[in-house]
Amino acid sequence: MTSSSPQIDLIPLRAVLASGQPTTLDLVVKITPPAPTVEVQRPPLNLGLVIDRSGSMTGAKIDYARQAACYAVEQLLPTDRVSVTIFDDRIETIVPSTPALQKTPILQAIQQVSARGSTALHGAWIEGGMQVGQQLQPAWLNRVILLSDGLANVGETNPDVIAADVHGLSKRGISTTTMGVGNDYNEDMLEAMARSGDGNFYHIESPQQLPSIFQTELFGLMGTIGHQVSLGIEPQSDVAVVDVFNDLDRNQYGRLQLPNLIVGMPILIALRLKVPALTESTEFCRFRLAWNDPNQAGRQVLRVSLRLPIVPGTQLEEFPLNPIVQEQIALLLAARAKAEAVRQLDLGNFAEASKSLQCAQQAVAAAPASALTQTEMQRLQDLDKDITNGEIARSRKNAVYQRYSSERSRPV
Amino acid sequence: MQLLQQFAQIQSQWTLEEFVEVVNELLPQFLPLPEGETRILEAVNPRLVRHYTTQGLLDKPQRSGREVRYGYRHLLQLLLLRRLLMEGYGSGAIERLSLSQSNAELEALLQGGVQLKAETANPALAFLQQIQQRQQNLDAAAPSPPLAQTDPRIPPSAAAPAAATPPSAAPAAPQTVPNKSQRWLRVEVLPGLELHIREDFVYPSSPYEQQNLQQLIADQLSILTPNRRRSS
Repeated sequence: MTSSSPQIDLIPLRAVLASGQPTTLDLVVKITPPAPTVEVQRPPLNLGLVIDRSGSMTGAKIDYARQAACYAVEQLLPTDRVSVTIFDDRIETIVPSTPALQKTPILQAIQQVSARGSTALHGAWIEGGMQVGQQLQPAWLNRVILLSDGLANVGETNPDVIAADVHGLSKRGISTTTMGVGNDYNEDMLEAMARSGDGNFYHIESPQQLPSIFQTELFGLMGTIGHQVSLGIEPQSDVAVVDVFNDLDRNQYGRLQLPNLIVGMPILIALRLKVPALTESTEFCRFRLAWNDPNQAGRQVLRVSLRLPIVPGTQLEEFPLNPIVQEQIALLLAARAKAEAVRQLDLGNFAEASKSLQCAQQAVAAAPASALTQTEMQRLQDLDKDITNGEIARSRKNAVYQRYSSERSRPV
Repeated sequence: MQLLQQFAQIQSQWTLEEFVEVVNELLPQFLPLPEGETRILEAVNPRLVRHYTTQGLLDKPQRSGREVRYGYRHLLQLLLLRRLLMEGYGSGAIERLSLSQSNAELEALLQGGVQLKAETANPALAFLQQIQQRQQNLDAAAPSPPLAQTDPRIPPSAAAPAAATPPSAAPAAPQTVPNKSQRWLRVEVLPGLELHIREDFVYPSSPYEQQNLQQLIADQLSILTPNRRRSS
């Protein structure tokens, strides 16, 4: 594994500041995890698969869940470990944590899972965590992957308590990813679990997507070179941060909590600074990226600072606006519109929710056309259409998932 | 059985080479038994001991003039270290464990107690166990249907009457709060002798622990059934 650092690019909307004028400056901080220069030797995985087999999983869902779990096991190296826990109202570990050496018995155990009963989600997550925890190695990628289609209705069901537990475990070295299947699970809870668990949240509309989602998760995990990632924004002298368009959680030091650093997946953070009138070029904002590298002791820190040339105000128009910044801000504003739409849906104000989505469409349309903005337009229209057609649960889940992914620069 | 205590009493001071020899002789008893295939035991050597010391996994040796000396505590630390490494624990967890525990605690960890060891060695597991305990306390407050047969005659916490416990053989006291819905397995060993095993009981993995457990059972039996023994 190479230990080269991620790269941080600071991309301002305009590459210069006008002399003697206060400026509102939009900016994208692009964090690119290093591409492996030599053959990637990834840290071993220590996985706990936790799969809902409650009655509602009957049929295609449990079929695809089995396939997805088998797929995951097939991808593992003999040095990896895996356990499989299934749950309804009872929790059963059908494969206790074992090296992925002899895969046939593991695959056979998974093939025999059928659906029944209700949903003891929290207890099952604990059991999955225990399986991973018994083999805890700081240099490994230790993760619980929880797949559910239902509402937790047995054991602990309070989302705040569950998210706090998941957070506590992530601080102790085991992260949690959640996958919600269909239209009946609690997307707020599964998203909160993934957020506080330093893992990922996936909304899976149709069970056919399951194997490919597992692939995304597993490849992401294999390409993970940094976790517990944070970004500190430190404006200098009279500069102020007006807005950070990615609505991410902050840690105890007020730094943004970023998703994992994964090879091939840059993270784009957009922000708006208020820069006072300057007459000479100076460092006006610093950034501090920090992360944990499974292969290195201690926290890794990288610092960069922003300085722009100053030109006379009359020349300002000669410098073009950067389309990446425009695009990113439009996408993140659309994410905010989705959050607002969800809030309105919860209040029963369907018309307001639609309005919020339509405003976002206009904002996205105003940005330079690109593949991403085109897709975003389509998504906003689909969400709105679902609301009009009374498919509220579906619209809400997609809105939550899309917002979550946009904020973290992850594809949907 | 009295293996460790002998060393504790004579207060040995070994040179590095002697220390390595003692450790290699004792190790097989304290390591988990191999499953299936025979495992080639990796011997400890002086370089490894020095490496562990610089890693902070062992206390620094005592100095006597220009020589270094290793004692009983180093012995306990190294035996436990090798064992936990073999069981797949990370050195981070082991460091805190092997440096911070008293000799008595290290002895207890070597003598038996998978659960005990797991709790102290592993922050993630300890955290999950706390959560589990919290949930069990909540469940106990609310009436819930028993999931499995429970044996009313044996309270789960009463593993062994205190009086019968020899000081060298502290059993692996289960640390979780007894849960009324825990499952017990009954096994008839001989006509007239049954074992009751709670589902979360873990049979120790090293010969030393297994011997201790067998001794403990033998002691219990001889105390509980003296009359019949005499009459037969």
